[in-house]
Amino acid sequence: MSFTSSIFLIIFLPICFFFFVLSNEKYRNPILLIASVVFYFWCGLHFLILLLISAAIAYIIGRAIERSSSVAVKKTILIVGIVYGVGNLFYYKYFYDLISFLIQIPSFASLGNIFQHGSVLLPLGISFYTFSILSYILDVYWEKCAAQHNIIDLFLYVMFFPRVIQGPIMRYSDFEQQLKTPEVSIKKMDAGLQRFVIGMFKKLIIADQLIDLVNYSFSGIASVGTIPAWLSIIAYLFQLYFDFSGYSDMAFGMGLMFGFKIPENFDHPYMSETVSEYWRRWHITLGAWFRDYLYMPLYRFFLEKRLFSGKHRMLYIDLAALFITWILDGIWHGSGFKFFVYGLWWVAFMFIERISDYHKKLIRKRKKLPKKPESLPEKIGKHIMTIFAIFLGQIIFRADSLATAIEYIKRMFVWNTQDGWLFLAKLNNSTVLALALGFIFIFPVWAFIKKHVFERNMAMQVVYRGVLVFVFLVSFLYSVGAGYAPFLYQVF
Amino acid sequence: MNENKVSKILPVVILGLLSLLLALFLLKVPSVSSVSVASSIDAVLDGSYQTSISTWISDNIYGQNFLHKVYNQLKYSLLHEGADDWIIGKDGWIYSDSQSLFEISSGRSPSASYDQYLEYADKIKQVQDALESKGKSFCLLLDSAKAAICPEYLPSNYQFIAEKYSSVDLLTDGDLLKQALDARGVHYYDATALLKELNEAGEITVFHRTGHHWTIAAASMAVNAMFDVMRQDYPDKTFPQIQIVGKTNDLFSVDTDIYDLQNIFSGKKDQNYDTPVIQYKDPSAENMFLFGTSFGYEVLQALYRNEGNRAFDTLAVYQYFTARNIGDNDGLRTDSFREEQPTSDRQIMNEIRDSDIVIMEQQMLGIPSTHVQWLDYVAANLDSVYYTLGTNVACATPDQTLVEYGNFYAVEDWGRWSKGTDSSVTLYSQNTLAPKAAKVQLRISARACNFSNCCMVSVNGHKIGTMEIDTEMKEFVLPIPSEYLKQKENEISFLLENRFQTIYELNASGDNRSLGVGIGYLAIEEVS
Repeated sequence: MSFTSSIFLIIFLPICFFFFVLSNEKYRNPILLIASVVFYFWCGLHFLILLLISAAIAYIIGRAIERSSSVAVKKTILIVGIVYGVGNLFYYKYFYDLISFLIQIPSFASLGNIFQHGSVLLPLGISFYTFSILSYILDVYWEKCAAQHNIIDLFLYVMFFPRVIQGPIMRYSDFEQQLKTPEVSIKKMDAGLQRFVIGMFKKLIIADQLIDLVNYSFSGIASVGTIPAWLSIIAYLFQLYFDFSGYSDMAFGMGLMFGFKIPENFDHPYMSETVSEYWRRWHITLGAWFRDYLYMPLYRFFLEKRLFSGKHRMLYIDLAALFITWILDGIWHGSGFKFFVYGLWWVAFMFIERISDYHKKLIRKRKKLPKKPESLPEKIGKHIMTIFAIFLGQIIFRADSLATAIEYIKRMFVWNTQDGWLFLAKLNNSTVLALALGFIFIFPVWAFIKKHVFERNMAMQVVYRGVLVFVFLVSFLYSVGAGYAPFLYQVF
Repeated sequence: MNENKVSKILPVVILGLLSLLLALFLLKVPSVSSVSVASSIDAVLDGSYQTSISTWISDNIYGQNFLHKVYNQLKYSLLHEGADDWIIGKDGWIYSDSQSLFEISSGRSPSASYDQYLEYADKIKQVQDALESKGKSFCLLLDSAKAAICPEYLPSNYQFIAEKYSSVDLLTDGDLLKQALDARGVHYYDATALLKELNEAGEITVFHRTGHHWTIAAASMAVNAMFDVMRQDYPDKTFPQIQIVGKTNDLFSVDTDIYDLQNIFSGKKDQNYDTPVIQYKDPSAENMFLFGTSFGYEVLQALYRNEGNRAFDTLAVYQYFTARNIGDNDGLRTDSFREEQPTSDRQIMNEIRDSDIVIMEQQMLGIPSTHVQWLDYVAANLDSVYYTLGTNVACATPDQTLVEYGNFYAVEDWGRWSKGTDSSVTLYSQNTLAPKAAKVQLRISARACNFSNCCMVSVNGHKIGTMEIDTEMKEFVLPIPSEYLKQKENEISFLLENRFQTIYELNASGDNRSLGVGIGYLAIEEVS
């Protein structure tokens, strides 16, 4: 059930909202859980059962860790939980890809007879809800929070419909307090609807209008010319950002409407000066999850075990933890060598940045120089390198395979006019308008307009609501008239 | 207005609107058809049933058509764009996007190689030869997409692309096709030059401004020119001449074939289109068969106006893609088909069998798979389409056009089982099977599935005898009074006295089919 579908907008959301608002406070979480069950049931009963089992296991493991007094037992239970979560993710996401890779090796060929059906359907949102579950059991194990005794509340944390399919990934400790006292007010509904409408607009009026232009180049790489290759990757960066941030805005908005503050997932990522900054602004909750639950434990582990020595050991520890984290981040996005290289691509840039910063700091320290602000050429150079990294990194992400990504990059940099002028047919008014509107949101123009124009006085705030109602109506028309285009990140 | 009141605007308006749509949907639900997808547990498990419900709801929300109209109008008026495959050119001219793009760029990268076109031409030639050997004439009518005839109204970016590619010295799909047809000696007529000429002369509208199909008047001119060519190739046949004697001033704001765009509120309605008033000079007593694309619809309109005003004695039209249910009038039979419904329809062969002139129509947009299917089918069945006296029909062979099984199960290696107690086999012949004076008989092998039974056999509703059948296959010979036989189709029907208990009911097998009489072969033959 997509957020932009008729069934969601006209049937699910109003019914869910009115049951929620009209009910007594103590029934609100159960109502949201029922709504979440219905919402996920739409992905398939098979997947719903899997999700319910996963949530139930998380509940049992959390309680078991809490009850146990022995550290060894706690650790064992935690490992069981992690093995279940990661194993589940591995089976649905990677297992059959791994088998199909292995059977190409003669000594493993017989595996093909054992695993004949070749693949399984990927449950929607499995990567996201598995991370929520892992967050919960790790937080309980680390005693950052108590185990949840109310099964409804825990199930709601795992299954909350605005974020179950595509995030944002929430740490349990952030959600726990809100579960006890969800605040519902007309102001929150207003703020939530504002974000929801902006999200619809981003998805339907910007991201979906760029599909043809992006597909034009990526589905015909063998004949794509240099100009269309550049145009399409720019369009893809827009499409990916507005598709995903549109979803996140809608999720954030619905969260507010139902009294929950879901964390932000984007902060104008294409304005970043460095690759590290880009990843702090892009899919923020995934980055934060990896930082808190993988990078930091690894860092601590390397530090405690003294695996590195010498005067640069802190740098080596940082790089080692970073390397493992980013390779796993790459693989989280999908199976296959392509995603391994995707992780490697980002970590390579981060290595350059970390080593460069480290050496600058050392020199400053040695020469006792004060920290100077960066010069303009330096800043511009950094921006250019970051944009270059983003362009090429997202080509790896979008292309069907690493070989096609390399071919695409070649076509970007080796001049050719093989497809002539055909790409002009894809540059229609909707595409150009979507790209133009995109710039308003890529840079903080909209935030500026909102703050300095629409929030100036009460009259302008009324006008702002009027604009949003119009934007909603147009977006709704697009959702009915243009047909369904799935959100890009729901396949992860 | 205070802050609290301002905060109420969005919740009240947006949630109010969605709730209103919900209420209207709930009111509408009782009057709409139910979800058509069966709710098997597998479908619920994998989510396909839920998806079908979503689609059903999306199709049935209140005011869905209105919302589509507003959406189309918004795109049309503000962005100057059509929906889906439609593009808006200058002065509101509408074109098919895919056809136009193909037309203007095929010189750069043809969709098929010359060898593939030669292979296609071979198929056409094979059918042409087969038809000619049976005294029928054949011609391939080639027409062009709107972008080729009226490029002046294409959107600027398409015009720019067209100009860039027109200077490239490469053969287009049309060039390659015509070269291959020439090389193989296929009779064809390319209407492109004529249509361009007519468009430039401006005396008739060749393409409607808001449609992507050619007009009936343009089709009439093209068909006349094609008949001129055919008169020379087939001097023994008579071809009518279409005469446009006037015109009605109908208003076609949008071609009704363009589903997505017909919802536009306000196309420019200041332009009326002319519908020709047609008469036929020398109407032909022959029968014509037309196989073609949706452009064939205008050919049909050019050749058949009504029962009393038609170019041929009968006109049979098989049209790809669009499903216009014109019905079967006197002298006209129409049907449509799609790619996923192959042309293995005996009715098509009957129409071809009855025709004197066969026309295949297509555009020069590559090699249409539908036409390849049709050519293969005609080539395979034209010779064996008719049942002739003495021919042994082995029921174990796959379906043939000369025979049709009524109420029989699928073919088995020894023959076929009928379903239940009533069944029939129809034999199709070109002419009469036997002269009235001749003595003919039905020779047939038959069996029962378990117990013995009595099977009554009739020909065209007349009882000719009974067969005492048991589990062994046995041959029966039943005399047929020749007056019972009909000219072109003869139905042999079987009626069992008792219904067999199924082997499933007898617990002898898991096969729960309701088997009747088993037929191994049958033949109508002269008594020796």
